[in-house]
Amino acid sequence: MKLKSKEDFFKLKEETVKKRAQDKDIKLLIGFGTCGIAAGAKIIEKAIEKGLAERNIKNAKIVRVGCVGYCYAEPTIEIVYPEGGSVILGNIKSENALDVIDMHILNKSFESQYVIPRNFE
Amino acid sequence: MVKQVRIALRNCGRVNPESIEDYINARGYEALVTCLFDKKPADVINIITESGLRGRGGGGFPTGIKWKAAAAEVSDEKFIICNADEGDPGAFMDRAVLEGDTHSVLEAMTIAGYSVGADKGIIYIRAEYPLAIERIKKAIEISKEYGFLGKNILGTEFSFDIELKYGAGAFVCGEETALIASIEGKRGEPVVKPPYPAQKGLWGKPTIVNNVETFANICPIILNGKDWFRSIGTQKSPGTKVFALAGKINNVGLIEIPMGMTLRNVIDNIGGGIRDGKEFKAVQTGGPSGGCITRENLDTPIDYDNLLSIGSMMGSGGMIVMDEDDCMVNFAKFFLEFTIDESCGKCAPCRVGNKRLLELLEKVTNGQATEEIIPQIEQLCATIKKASLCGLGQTSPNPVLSTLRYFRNEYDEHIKDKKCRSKVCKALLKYEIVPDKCNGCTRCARSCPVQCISGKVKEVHTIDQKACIKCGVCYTNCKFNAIIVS
Ligand SMILES: Cc1cc2nc3c(=O)[nH]c(=O)nc-3n(C[C@H](O)[C@H](O)[C@H](O)COP(=O)(O)O)c2cc1C
Ligand code: SF4
Ligand code: SF4
Ligand code: SF4
Repeated sequence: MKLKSKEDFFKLKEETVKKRAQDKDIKLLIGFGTCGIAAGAKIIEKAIEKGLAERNIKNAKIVRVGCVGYCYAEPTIEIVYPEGGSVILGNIKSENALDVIDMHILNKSFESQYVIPRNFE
Repeated sequence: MVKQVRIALRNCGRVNPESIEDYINARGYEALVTCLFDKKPADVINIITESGLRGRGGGGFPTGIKWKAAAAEVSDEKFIICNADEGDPGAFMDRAVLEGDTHSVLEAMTIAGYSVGADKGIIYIRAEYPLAIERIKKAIEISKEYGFLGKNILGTEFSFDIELKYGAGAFVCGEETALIASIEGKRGEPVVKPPYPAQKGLWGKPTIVNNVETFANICPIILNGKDWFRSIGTQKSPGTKVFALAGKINNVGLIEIPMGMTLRNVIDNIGGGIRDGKEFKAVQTGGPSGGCITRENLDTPIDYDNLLSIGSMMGSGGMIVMDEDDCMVNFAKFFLEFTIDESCGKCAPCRVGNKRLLELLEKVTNGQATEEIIPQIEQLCATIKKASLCGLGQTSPNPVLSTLRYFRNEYDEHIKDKKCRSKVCKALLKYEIVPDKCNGCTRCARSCPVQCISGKVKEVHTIDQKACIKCGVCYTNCKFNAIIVS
């Protein structure tokens, strides 16, 4: 789809923003920079996918994002709730996947042993 | 608590860098559209100039002024180069931006092209960044499909293309004239400036070279305005700086702080304090070209000019924290070894001078130096700084000069007392057995690789100091804390 004018762009932008606003899924942002991948992001992603299927959760989606900067706690997952708010989890291992899903997706808890302090807005 | 402010890293960790929809949803390509349809090239340059944005690749040169110079040149061809060589040891700010917010760099380069009248962009990236390279390639392709790149962008007269060139990872190729030479297929050696690349750059044509992080600041400035940008940071250094925080700090990682934040804040709040409760000694910024910041400057606001005045520099964003266990002479030696490895060898002051300088430092750490060595070191540093051709050589003595300035006592201890207080310089260490504590278990004697420990079973053991190679094996092996290092 080639955009040919300013109007084309703003139309596309509007559609995109609207579509995103309607998306009410919980997002799991997994750090997929070189650093995150080296720390095991791909394995964590698999484990979370499996866990979501096991718990039959349909309203959560994994998003591969870049490095957030928490190198000391890689691999990291940020869980963003559609109604607002998010938690950042660090040092996640694949065996923690179900635990993470139960606490932060089913119970939407803002606290657990995995939560690391957010140091920026 | 003072927090980070994210401008360059605004989308890192928020968007899927491989999704152009994610980027558009985060106001992506809005800045380009605004520029192409509502602003003349000169207006864009004015906004960038008045925002006060300074180059984030190390030098801090005002970006708008560089763009203006290139725009003023009359030429059939001009180039926009994104410097993604990132050679500073331990730094990965640019990689994070390219991997985490790929489109924002492409968009900013396109805006630069529009501003100065260039239709070709080149990203010079080290081949060791395969993931970044893959994502850039994908982003270029999809941008072309949408019409954000290529011929007649968004139906306008303006066309712009971006291609990749790969660096082999030589530090000196990050220097802009060496980088240009390398793209031209020549040896990656710097040439004398002026002429500056903005006048005569790639293939002799006007060329803008900007750092990845510099580009990452462009779109937010266009979208939010120069006054917004100026409201962050300090008067002479508006905005933020990304640092790769490393070393003896709890929260190692990538941070973006408003200029003017104090180092104390960075270490105590953002960095979570020194590891293992040890004592802070210094922070190195500016990598092999920079210097250290010490306890007395913990409350100095971090910006380009303040760092220079205390003998360090902003650099591209490496920030290494050192504690009481780090020896400052050894630290200066580490960077000098790096410089020697990376010197291109074109000019003698850098090629030979730094080797001699390293030999002098080795004398200090080996305990073979006498007091006359300090003026010798200082003189050699001055010569290298003055006579070297490019920034690499001109700044290479900085770690030595800055440690000499702030940690003269450590140099003196090595030279006069033959002691290394941090117990790093092996030649100056002494391993001894405390007779009262030794029960004669023979473990140390059996583990010593040069068999210089003697003693009978159940009797006090002794170390033959002349033969000891200071490997420390006995120290780690003794279960009764009978061996001490001094
Ligand atoms: C030895 C040496 C290495 C350099 N390495 C880099 C580098 O890796 N990345 C970078 O952006 N600038 C590097 N620079 C600075 C560039 O020469 C140039 O000033 C910079 O890319 C300009 O962009 P800026 O104004 O956006 O900072 C280096 C300079 C020297 C002297
Ligand atoms: S100063 Fe060093 S790196 Fe620069 S041109 Fe001379 S030898 Fe090469
Ligand atoms: S290992 Fe320790 S206690 Fe045993 S002989 Fe050596 S110094 Fe003595
Ligand atoms: S430091 Fe190494 S060489 Fe020296 S006495 Fe101990 S084990 Fe032997």
